[in-house]
Amino acid sequence: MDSADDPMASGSSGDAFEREVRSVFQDTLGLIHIALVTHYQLSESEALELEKDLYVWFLRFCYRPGNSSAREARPYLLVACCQFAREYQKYLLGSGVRSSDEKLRRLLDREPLDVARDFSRSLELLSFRTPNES
Amino acid sequence: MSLSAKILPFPTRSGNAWLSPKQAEVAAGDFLSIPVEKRSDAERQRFLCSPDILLAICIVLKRNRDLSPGPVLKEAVDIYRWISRPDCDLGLFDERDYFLGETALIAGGVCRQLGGREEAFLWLDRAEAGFRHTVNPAPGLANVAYARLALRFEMGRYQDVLELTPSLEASFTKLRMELEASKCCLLLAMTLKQTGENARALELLDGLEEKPALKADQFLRARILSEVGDLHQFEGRLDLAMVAFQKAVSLLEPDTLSAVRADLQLFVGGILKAEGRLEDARDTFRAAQRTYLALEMRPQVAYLHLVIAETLLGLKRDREAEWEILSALPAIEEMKMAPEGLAAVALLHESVRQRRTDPATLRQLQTLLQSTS
Repeated sequence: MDSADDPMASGSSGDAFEREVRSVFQDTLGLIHIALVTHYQLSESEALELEKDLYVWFLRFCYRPGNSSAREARPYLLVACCQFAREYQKYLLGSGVRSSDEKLRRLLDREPLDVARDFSRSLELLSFRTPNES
Repeated sequence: MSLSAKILPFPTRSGNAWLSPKQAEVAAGDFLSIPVEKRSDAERQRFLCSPDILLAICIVLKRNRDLSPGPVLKEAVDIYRWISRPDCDLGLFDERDYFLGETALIAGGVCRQLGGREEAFLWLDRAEAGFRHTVNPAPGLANVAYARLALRFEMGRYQDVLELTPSLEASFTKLRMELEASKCCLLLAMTLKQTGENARALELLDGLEEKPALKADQFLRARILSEVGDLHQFEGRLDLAMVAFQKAVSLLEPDTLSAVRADLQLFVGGILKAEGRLEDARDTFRAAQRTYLALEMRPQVAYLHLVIAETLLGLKRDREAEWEILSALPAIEEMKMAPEGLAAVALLHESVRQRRTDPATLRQLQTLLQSTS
């Protein structure tokens, strides 16, 4: 068994790990919320629901082999955020429940990875402003 | 607008509930205690549609792949088949793809150990297909690349391994996957051993087992030490070889069968043979063979038949040597060896038929069969 992919082997450090993930998620939540509401034009309640799923996903994602720390995994959290928001909006637009404006159409045409990359730059800016985070 | 916010305790949706690693481990144990053939679809649905439990199951399977590759393969295949159904609703975002990758990677790894090389390649293709669709594919794909290199090593494609392993090791280092980078180092050293570059191999392995990243992986540490011992043995430093073997044995749980233990028995048999203690060597080789057999590792069982045959030839027990060779041939043929291997098998078949075993052909086949786990 490779210890690198055995979170259970770490015993009580699991709680500390979960705390770290939660803290990183919390630090990124503002940006996630802006992405969902301002850019992808989700309603507040829709954004809240997606944020719940995102947190559970991120927690499990951080347990996967190859993720050295939750902080370094933040760009992937943003990719997942954009991907999820895009799929959700596309579904709503496709089913005719919601109409779209030009700005949203342009955003939905872009790959979530590219959009997330732009948001990641914001994250870097954030780290620069609060050096204790990095 | 503030860029941070307080997280409320989220009321999660059904099916996406977060289980702690401990809870998930208990559930994984419950699932794995149900024999595959007696498992109902309702039970599969209950356990396998929770990503937390699935993650814990994968961890248990990886932990057991050295100890019981046969049952691990059965489990991995069963789980993969279940979650690959088009209507399987599993987890969030990329989680279904991730677990398809993980379970296929486990299946591919144990297939290799059990001698199913073609099947192993197919499973690794499936693993790649799964990981490719995940948010962060690099770690999974790097693991698939490693499994493919290990297969190439077993097939005797040493130049391929020598060319590609350093780049993969660099990828693992970049991804901060220190343990996997160490496995690359070991694979490279084993390949150098096969190409006769023992000094370079020993240089690579020097102090590797003491790296902090390997602290919790006793199997890998024992495997490294057993290779160090074997390399010393090849260089005629039998005392240093025994020291390394003893250190390796001390890392393994007594009375637990594992591929590393069988490798060690094989290497110690080599020392006894080098010392001219042929009967002791034969008995030790047989012990290694029994261990491989218990683990269902067919290529190694076949390889040991040939090693024992060679030892028996040294003891002038030609008839017994022929029996050993005859026992190995069906498995070797079934494993679809390379053309040169098949030619060697045919030659050996003929020499046994004529009651004149050719030691050179025997050695050629041994080299082709020599493998890692």
